[in-house]
Amino acid sequence: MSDEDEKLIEETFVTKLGAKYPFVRAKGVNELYRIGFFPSVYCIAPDGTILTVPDDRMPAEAFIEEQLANVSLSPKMPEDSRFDAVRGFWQKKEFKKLEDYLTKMLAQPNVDAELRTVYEGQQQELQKRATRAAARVQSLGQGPDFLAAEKQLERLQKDWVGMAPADAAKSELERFAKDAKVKDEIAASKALDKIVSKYDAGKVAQRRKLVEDLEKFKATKKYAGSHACKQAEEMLSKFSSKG
Amino acid sequence: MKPTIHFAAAAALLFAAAAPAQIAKGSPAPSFEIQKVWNDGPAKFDEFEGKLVILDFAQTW
Repeated sequence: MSDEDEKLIEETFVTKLGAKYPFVRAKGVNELYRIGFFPSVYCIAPDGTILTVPDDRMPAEAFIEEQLANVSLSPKMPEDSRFDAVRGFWQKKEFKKLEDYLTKMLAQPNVDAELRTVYEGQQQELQKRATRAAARVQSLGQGPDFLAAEKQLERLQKDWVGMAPADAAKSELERFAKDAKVKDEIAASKALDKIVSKYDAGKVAQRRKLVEDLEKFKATKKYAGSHACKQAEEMLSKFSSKG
Repeated sequence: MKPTIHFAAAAALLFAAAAPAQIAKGSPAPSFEIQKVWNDGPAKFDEFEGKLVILDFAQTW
């Protein structure tokens, strides 16, 4: 991924280097991920948390394979059409519907042994993911990036509607809305996002303006001590080292 | 002590001072808006969910 000009990315990575893997352009992403050198690699776990950082360098193949064992949007099950409904619920992230469907199917009298095994396996997987989602809600609630946490909690609330992780996410979001300190943190992060998204830091002239705005942001009394203020300081430190 | 060791240590200290702190392991990956995608990549950050994602930050210069 890169935050550079589209044309430049296409010429360099897609045409000249012939990259076959997915390549994305996202403005401001180097600052967002606090990139200090290139190439830098972050590995993100299926639950959306940071698994490895640039200082770890590129994760070893064995490590990736080990992590991949935990990945599957739709858990393994026989491919025949009897399980299309279950597969559909997983794909659409309709977890409550999946839970109800599995309960209903398993409650039927004389359920075929093979079907029972598959349905029970799916129930266990669903439970495992619900537990993971609930743990994530708890971790998000602790910040320090409350704006990112708010967005992810909203998504968890939507995905797990009718189930425990959604209730927990809702309760955290309600707490965010009442807590003056969290509200200040969110406002500061939004203000910083607005500044960062205004400029293309890959261009010298725009980077200078970005630095000016970041300095102003840093000096703003109401943002003092916030997580966003620390992020702004880190960005400025990076730019001063880059020139 | 060899001078090369002094130099390496000084360089490491300088680098540590200049480089921004990386995002802590275990913390949520910040979401971002994807402007353009090549080779069937994701159109939205949300599409990463449930997947193991390797974000490789590259620069042409």
